[in-house]
Amino acid sequence: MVRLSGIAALLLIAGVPCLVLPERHVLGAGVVAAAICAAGLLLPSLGLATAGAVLAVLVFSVALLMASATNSVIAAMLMGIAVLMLLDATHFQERFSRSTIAPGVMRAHLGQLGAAILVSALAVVMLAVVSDAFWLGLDAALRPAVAAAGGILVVLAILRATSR
Amino acid sequence: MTFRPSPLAYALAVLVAWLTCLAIAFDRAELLFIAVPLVLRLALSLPPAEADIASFALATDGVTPGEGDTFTLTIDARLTAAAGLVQVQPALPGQVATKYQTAVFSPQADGRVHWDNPLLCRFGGILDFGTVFFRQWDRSGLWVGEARQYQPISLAVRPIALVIRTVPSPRLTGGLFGAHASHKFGDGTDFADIRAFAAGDRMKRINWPASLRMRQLHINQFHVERRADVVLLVDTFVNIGQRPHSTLDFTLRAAAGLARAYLRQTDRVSLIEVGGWLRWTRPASGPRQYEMILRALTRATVTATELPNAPDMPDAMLPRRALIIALTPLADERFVHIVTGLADQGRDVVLVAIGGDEVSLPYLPRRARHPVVRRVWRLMREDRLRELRSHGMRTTLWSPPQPIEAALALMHRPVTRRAAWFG
Repeated sequence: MVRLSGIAALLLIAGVPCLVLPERHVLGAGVVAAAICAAGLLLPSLGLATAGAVLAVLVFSVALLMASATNSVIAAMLMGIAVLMLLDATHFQERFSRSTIAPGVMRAHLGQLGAAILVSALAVVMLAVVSDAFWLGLDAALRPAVAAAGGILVVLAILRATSR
Repeated sequence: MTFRPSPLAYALAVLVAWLTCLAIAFDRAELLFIAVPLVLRLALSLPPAEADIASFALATDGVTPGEGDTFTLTIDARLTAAAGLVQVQPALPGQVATKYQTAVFSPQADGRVHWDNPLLCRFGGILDFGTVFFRQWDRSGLWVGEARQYQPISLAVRPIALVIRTVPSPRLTGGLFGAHASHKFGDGTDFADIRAFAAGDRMKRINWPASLRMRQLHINQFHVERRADVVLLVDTFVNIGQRPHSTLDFTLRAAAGLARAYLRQTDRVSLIEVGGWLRWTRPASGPRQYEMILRALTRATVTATELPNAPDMPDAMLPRRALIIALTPLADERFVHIVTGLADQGRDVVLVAIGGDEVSLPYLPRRARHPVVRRVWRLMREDRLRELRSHGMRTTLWSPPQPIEAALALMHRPVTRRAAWFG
């Protein structure tokens, strides 16, 4: 079941960049990134899956840059969920591929992943609404600075959380 | 058990940082939305409370397993905090095989974890268990803590005894009441000769057809049946191949099979393990002796030694009239020196050479597996066996995929030194 969620994530990783820029080259690049992710899932190797996810995100970013689409929040959310599902499935396989798993463990894990995805979707929608309102009143020159400050805050929060 | 971030936490952190960089570089805020599920996952999973192992027990199902048998290793533990997932991993010796190396549980409300792990014994020997690793994960898999428990358990796994129906007959026999025909005449079942009737002979022994032909009473004579003293000499200097298909494994199985076959014939059997150690199982007969020999074979291992000569064996270990059966891959000169020394003393020696090149074939480089190389090996081995036969011992070559009975049936009689060298 966990591997199935990983396969669903692979399909999303290959296909989501095409939602932003429906071109053959973008699809090819997405498929290459998904193939690396698939290798990470099947081996299983979290390092390889992370490398694949980094490449997939890069493909998505380039597609976003080339398309200059005004609103790709849904596609970005799908990509985020796909990356989360992929890393979660790969890590699960890496930890427990040679283990006997007690009944209920798998169900609880998938339930928790589903809840995380649901919360993420709600959070993205809420953030999109808030940012639209915020974006309209913000000067274009300040936007990168605001994004950078937000990014730095996120990294600091993660470092604080992981070094506790 | 102290918790630390798992590799997944670091992977998510790397991706969030990467997305932030991309968002800044490409000036696209949408990229930060990709990071939202990852950040939420990190933010919502706090490190669990410190946990420890309150009680721990390691046990087997009480069965004394043999080679190829399955037994159950039971791990029972109680954790102080029943949260997340608990992964149990016993440190298993290479001697056992299992379908699952670890088990994952959601601990019960009282923190109890119980795992019955079925294990297959791949080959004989002493099994030592003791260390069990416990790894506790939080539900999201972002935090992990580890602990180790130790409780020593030792288990003796007996080697399989090969089925041997026909065993080499001894040249000399020992005490009364056995199954081997002695050179002496007396009460027995094996016909030996006919002679003229003498006073005191039993009437039931009269051979009437012969008596009528010769017009004088004649009686049948029989060989007395005696038991034999058998010494099994096991070479533990070297082991060729990989267990459970190594020369040591086949040696132990053959020794167990021979011991069982001789003990069934009421013979006295002893075992001498010659290698880095000299271990001796005293001669005796009966089912109890079979248990003693199996126990000794279970302990048999290859111990490396740099001594130039094999240890001397006291005379008590080698009765003068005993049949000595040496089981060896013929790879160590020290063992060969012992066997030739015994044969030169005029003892009844049977040498079963175990074909080490056959068992090591899967592990050899391709060049060494060339038919010409193998043929050269075979010729060298045959030459070696011919030389050993010239010392007056019976020899046979057993290539383990083949049944040992076939090798024993083809046993070569000793030849004179002259015949050995000049055909």
